[in-house]
Amino acid sequence: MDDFTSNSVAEFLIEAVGITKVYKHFNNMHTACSDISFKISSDDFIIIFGSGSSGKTTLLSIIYGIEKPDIGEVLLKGEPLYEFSEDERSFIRARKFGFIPHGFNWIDRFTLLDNVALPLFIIGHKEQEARQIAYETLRYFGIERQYQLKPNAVKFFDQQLASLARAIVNQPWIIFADEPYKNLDDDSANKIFSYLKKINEEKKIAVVVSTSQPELLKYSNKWLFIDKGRIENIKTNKNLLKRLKEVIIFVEKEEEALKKSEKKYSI
Amino acid sequence: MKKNILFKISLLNIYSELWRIIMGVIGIIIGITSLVFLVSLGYGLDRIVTKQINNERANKLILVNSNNSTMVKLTQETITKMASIMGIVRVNQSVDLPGKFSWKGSSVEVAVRGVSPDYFSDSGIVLPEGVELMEASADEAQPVLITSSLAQLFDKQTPKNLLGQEIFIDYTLTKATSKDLYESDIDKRIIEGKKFRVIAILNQGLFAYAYIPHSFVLRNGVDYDTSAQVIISNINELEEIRAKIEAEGFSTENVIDYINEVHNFFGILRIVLVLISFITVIVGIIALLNTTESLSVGRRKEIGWLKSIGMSKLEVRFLLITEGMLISFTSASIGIILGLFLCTILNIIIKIIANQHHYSYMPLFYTPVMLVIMLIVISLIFGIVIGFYSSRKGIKIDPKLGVEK
Repeated sequence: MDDFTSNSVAEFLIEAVGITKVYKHFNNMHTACSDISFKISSDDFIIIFGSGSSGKTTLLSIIYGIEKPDIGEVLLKGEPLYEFSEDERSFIRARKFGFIPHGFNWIDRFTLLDNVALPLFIIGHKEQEARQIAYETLRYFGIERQYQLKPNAVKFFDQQLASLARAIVNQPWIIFADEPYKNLDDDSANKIFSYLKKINEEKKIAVVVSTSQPELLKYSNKWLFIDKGRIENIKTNKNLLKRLKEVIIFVEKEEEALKKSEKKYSI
Repeated sequence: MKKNILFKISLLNIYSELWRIIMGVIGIIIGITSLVFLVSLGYGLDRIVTKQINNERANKLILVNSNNSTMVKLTQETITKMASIMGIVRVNQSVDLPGKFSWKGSSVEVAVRGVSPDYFSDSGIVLPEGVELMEASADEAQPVLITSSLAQLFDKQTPKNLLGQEIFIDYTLTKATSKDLYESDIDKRIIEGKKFRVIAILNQGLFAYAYIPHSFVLRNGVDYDTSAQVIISNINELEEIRAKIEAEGFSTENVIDYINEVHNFFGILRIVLVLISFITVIVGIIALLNTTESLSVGRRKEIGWLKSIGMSKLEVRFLLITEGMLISFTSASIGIILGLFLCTILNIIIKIIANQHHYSYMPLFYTPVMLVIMLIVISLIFGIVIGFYSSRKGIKIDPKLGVEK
């Protein structure tokens, strides 16, 4: 475990090697990820593109260390992540990873400050020390004045920033974000992604984001496109955007068809 | 994670769900309240009864009787021998005789008791000032003390009318009280028409007794006493003196025998009361288990999130056990406080009523400190068990649940 308490950053932080994950639902087998391999280094801003049920979240959970793959390995600085025990992986996540969930996952009994300080509490920082660091982190995003409020009393956009503050408060190696800003307008999403890019460049924290929003492509230095659990071999940004539009239109059509069938059923 | 922070988080979790928790643990609060209430009642009654019968005078009194033995009799000789035992201050003689009490042509069956002058003070019976049961000269009416219930048999409205009146008492000698009869084939002999004067009416409402001088019955047919009161000087010599008396073939009794019986009785009563309230506590514990478990189940997403950002299984367990302990401790504390409050209020009411009616007051409810400490310790242990139970599911919550959409 000593290896992960060090802040020295190697070129490659994580390497996913041939990851495959299959879910069994009654007698049906659903392949969420199939033979996925890629590397993450400290200066990477990686976007995993794909439609709603393409397997992005499963892939992110596997790399984040909370879902063991059926086949393949996740190497953290060369060491197999899933050879550590569950508590050892918790130890690693608490110290070296940050996570921005799709919802905010606020603990609504806590103030905004304590929610942001929570990862530091878990690491074992003293109460005041953790709050001081959390306060400084909120100040980095310009929302420190709201530190005493309950998270739900804070504006939606500021909650997004606070969620980002919570992900970086423990100075992680990597931030994982699972479709974090899906419900934001383009302007707000761009502002948040600008912050993420700034953090990536200034603090040398790698960022791995899953999304289906093609307009965010500009922030990434690497991208993957996943469909039906497989990485599609797309070479250019132009082809990626084309493919994304196909996927999004397909999903919209699917949703429309589902709504119609529900209507018929209700009649 | 620092334990103090985990503790604060637990406190905050409980505070935020306070009303839901209170509704869930109301059963255990009622159970603990009734337990404190009933056990305090048991202890209070024990103390009252013990205090009534246990005092220095009673402790130093040994009641001796021959149990109708044919071998040993309470004669003047054996009583003199008994009185010579080291540590014995005096021996009061007492003989119970079946008799008849007559006044103004009316008679009733009565228990006639011939007793030594110190019998009353040593028995704790307070005589009116200046009254003493001393034998009068042969040509005068002998003194008799009667109980109020006997006086009421003759004059229900004003029993005091008997005071100073001359009355007649017949009493019957049997083989148990007369040497002549014991040695003959005759079963009984009646001593008739002895004249007495009522010198006091004792406020003893239960039995119809007539107390007459022991020296008088000794001169009028009685050879054997039915019992004797032995007064000792030092309570520490009680068992030794009892052993010496019993070695002569007599049986002995002391108030300590009754106190032990009282303690045994109230010990059993307390166990019954504890068992009754324990049923409520058990129902409460089930409700408490349900509450703590539903709390952790209701926070599945939150616990999943905490685990996903690095909280270990041990810390989740500590968090849930602390919550269980806090809930259990708080419930027990509220139950104890309510129980104590109820006992105190009732004690105050009883004291007010006792003062109004000029009765001596002793608290009806008594809560030993040990009971409170024991309940708190048990509640903490239950809290650990309950927390452990509810944490079983908590630690199994998949961290993936915390990051799912």
